[in-house]
Amino acid sequence: MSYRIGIDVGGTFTDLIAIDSSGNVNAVKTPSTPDQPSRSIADGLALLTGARALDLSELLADTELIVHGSTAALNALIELKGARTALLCTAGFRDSLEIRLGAKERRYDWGYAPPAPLVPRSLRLPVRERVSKTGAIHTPLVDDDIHAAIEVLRRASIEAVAVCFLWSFRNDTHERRVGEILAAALPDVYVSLSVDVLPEIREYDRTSTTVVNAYIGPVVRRYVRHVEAFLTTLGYRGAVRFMQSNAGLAAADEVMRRPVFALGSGPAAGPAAGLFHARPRGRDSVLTVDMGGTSFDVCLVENGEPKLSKGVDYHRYRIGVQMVDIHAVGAGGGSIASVDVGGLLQVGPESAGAAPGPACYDKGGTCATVTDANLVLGYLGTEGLLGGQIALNRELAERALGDHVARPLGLSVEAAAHAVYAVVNNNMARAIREVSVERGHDPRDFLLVVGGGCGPVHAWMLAREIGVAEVLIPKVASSFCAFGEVVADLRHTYSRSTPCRVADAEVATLEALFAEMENEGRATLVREGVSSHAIDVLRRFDLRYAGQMYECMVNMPAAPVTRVYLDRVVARFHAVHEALYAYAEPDNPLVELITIGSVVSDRSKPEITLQSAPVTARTPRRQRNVYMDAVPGFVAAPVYQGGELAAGSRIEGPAVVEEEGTSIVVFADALLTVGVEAYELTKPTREQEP
Amino acid sequence: MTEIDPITLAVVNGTLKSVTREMGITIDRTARSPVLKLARDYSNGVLDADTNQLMQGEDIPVHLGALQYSARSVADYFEGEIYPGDVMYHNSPATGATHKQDCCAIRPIFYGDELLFWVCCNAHLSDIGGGVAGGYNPLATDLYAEGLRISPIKLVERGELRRDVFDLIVGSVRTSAHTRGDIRAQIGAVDLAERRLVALAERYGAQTIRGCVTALLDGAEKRMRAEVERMADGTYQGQSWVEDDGHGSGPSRLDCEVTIRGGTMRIGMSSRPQLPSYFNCYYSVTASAILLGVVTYIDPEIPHNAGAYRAIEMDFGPPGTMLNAVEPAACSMATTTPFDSIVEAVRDALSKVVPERSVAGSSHMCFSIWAAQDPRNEEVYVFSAVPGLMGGGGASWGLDGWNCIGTVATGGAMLTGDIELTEHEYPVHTHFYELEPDSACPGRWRGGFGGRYAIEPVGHTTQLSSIGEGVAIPPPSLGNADSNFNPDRVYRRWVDRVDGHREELISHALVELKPGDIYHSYPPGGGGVGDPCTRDIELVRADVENGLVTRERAAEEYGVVFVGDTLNIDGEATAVRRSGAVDDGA
Repeated sequence: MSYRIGIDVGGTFTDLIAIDSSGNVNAVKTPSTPDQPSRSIADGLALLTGARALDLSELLADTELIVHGSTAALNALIELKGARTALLCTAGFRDSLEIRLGAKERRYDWGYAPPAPLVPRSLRLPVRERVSKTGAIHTPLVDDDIHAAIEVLRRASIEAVAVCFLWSFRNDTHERRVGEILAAALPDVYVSLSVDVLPEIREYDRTSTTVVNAYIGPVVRRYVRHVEAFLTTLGYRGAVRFMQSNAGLAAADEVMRRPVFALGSGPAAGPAAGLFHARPRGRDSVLTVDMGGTSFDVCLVENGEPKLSKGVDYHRYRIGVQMVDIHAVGAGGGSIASVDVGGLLQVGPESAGAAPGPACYDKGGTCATVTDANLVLGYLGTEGLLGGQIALNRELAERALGDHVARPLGLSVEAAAHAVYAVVNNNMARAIREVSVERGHDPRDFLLVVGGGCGPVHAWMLAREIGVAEVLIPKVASSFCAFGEVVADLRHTYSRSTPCRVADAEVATLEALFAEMENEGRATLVREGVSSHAIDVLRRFDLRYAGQMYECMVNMPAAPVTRVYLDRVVARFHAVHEALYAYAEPDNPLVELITIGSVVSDRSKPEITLQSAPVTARTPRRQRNVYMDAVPGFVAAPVYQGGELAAGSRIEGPAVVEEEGTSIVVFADALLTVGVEAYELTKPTREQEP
Repeated sequence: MTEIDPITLAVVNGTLKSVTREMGITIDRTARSPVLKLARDYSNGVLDADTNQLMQGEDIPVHLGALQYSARSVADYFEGEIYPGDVMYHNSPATGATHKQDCCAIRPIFYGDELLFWVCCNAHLSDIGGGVAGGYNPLATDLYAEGLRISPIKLVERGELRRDVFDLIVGSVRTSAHTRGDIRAQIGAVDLAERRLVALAERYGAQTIRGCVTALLDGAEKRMRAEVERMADGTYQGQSWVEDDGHGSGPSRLDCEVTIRGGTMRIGMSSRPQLPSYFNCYYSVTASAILLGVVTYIDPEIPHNAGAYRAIEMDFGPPGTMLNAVEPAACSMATTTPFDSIVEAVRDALSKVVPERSVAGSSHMCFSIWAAQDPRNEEVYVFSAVPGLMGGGGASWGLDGWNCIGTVATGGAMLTGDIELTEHEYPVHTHFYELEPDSACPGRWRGGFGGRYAIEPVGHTTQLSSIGEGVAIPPPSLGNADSNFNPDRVYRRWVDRVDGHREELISHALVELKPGDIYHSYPPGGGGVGDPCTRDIELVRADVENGLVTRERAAEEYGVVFVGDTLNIDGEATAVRRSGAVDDGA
């Protein structure tokens, strides 16, 4: 027997998943311990060994892979607890981090402050040098400036340095030289060169990304080493992999080199979890949604490839590298419902979070939240979620809904709860439409996979709102990301800017750049233990009509770059533009190629076929009044325990199925089919009826 | 009115919001001309069947509340000839447009045969013909010299693009290729809106939608009136200045009288007779400047729709005055000058009512537009050297101003553009762009800093038109802060000629830049709020450590004295200097 273990350390909970070689799954949840992450990992492993009736050394001796996702990098950024960082930049361009292109996100809020720069101006050190846009040296590097900067770095006890010069991606001589001098003079300082992190055009994006990389670098390095060392002290000798924001895994070395890819670590596992469940059903286009306590994350996967985005403001800091395009909106169990003076009901984005949490948690929260509404509507039971430790207080939920929603709107508490439920569903459905319909995709072409502790309560209504007839709810829904981490592939992404008109592009140059990126990717994968025959390569082209400011990303299979190949790239660009923006200019010859990229990944997928645990009974334990709609209102519905339903069982609505950490609401117009590894919600048809 | 359930209302409201947001994304991502994609000088809105503004995107502040005026003129003009699939186009200031560069695509949205909504996409085009590239003609004395005037026309009729009309417009401007793309982007935006709104109507039916419209407008009105009711009844005066227009106007004073009675606010503007220059406002610009001044002082969550605006009564002054201009007044600068000064006058008055929401003035708009043939490909370019016009933002009560976010009219929407993308796209080389020390006006909360910017044309000669104001009067400060103590917080611009001599650049002029000539622009920082001698000493120390405030100015303006070259405070000298500080009572 061998195991793969996923450990996802979130802000509130740490989720662990173990899958054995026969496909049996165990999932456990334990509170996170941010000050000492190894403690929650140890707690989780103890729960896992308990569930498997093994001792820890036996479990770890049989474990071949541990995959880890964590909010460590993210927390360092949003809590501003990164390293003491400096920036070396081209003289005359010291402030782009603080100018932020002149943008202010909220135009009509005069109390809104800019984010703190990660490097204060006194540590943004100008160096005289200049590369021109052609790559020619316009001003030679002044060594004195570097030495002066090093003195400042020493005095200020700097832990990390970012180096970003103008046009360095065209000619990296100056940046590399500074990198060498810094490495020699300050061997203990973490150095990030922009040409290593993001060799792409856009000085602001490149500077900001390199600074973030440096700022979180020492933190991530300490964290990764801590986790590896801790697992070693426990006796683990197998491989450790880390989840990256590009939807793939990497070994420690790569994560420490480009920690900016560790930022969106947890949620980026959603696509892998979705694909795992979709592929056996012959589907590889998936919409994954994950509804937790504070946010609702949506991700679109088309033909097996998750949508990526770049140049986004991540917690208000610009990140230029490609990351899984996770569309997050403030809709979760803790989202707060309120009514404004004008009578408009709003749900979220404010959240009661884990503390004080929803009113029904009885931890001092008095705001009306989505979880309070779900409790009043009977979707959740007062005994709390199976496996959860929190009992829910219905009276407090009713009081909060009464005060904040029912009274201002002149509704009954039940009607108010239903309004909150319906509005949050609509907010989430809109988020799904924003990544699908609004980007040229028909949601009906995608399998909707719903995860997260709160997701299954809302799954069917989401499906109805976006017009899809089928929803998949993995049995591991409440540890969706930890599961995704276990089944994700090793994957590395690279890019190079080479701005020119497509008509002027030099085929040989492009091919050489692709070769450079792909060789680096292959070498990294081979170092990480992948067979050189099991490597997949995908090519990416960022194009735009001349004069536009943003590019459309076009994915292409790896093939030698020829004029014909480039014609196909351009044809695909017109189609992508049309889908995104409702028009294209197929006759416009002025198409620019700005950046190319390669995605290099391991395609040797392990065969994992999940098994379901043996079943004891299928009679409902009890009944509960569950709200169906304005008519008929509440109806008595059976409540099942998920673990007691045999694969192949069918349950017609109205019913509720309680699973580990979550609850599935089966409405009157739905049929729940129990599978081995997931539930399916569909519309009942005559043939399907038992 | 039909009783509207709260769920439907919330859903309709959410959909309208995402429609305007999505229209904005279309423009951001696909527009070509710099003024659209960088300055993001566009606004999207959804209006009801009677052209009342329902929802406006969080776009450029300068069009706040202005879309409905153009839409109203278009609806009146085409009454009886409005069909599904039409897209109208309009830029005539006398009938509700802001200035000619702002061209509004307006589309009626039908559900079946019934007109349910109008949607607008107002976009600043990079050129509109006329005497000077970019449309800001400093020599113009009337609006005929400012380019093509588009009275309401149909650009698309019943779904068919009118090629003749389209070609007439793009053929009248210098930047045909870009403009073609920009107008396509506008049509794309209103088409997207149509799809979304029809889907919404299919779901709920026309009657329910109309009920929601009424409820949204009434709800916003209620919130706005509640907010105004909280302000003390009375009459308050404010004033501001517009600088010389280049035609010898001298400074022009703007006056604002605000009267608050219960839940209604009345705002009356008065100004001198209209000028023979581009510094006049037709009514829609004056209206949006007033509204922008007002929304500074209210809950930022209140929707900006026609319902909320019912609580605000506006009087622009007699027709034929600067702020209520009539044809043929020139007006190409209207959206920044006098716009910024109107906002300042309104704020000056309202800061006497709600001092704890005071917001000081931002840098005004003074810039250059370059036009020439790009030697790399022989195509005409129009370049607005944006970083050179992004001065600092005004401080607000409790918060320093934002650095380099430009004028009040554009604040936060306009982007400087990435240095490398700019050099890739235009034949230019940037020498420096960074914050300018001491540029921010002092205050307990100081203004944001302006930038310093130097750039030269590469391998060709370019025509530069120098326009705008802000060269004589610093951005106004409020509440015991004084911008005029060191009155050097104004635009400083010059050209270092290739032969070594320095040439000061005056505003309202046309000059030539040759290869090797370097254009310099130093916009001022924003105004401050509160007595600078009450500013937290640690904040002053941080500004000095960061090289943003010099030791001299720290002592002179903030009363903070350092020991020698150190960052240690000379307590005694500081106490003496700060002894006269006035507490603003926060």
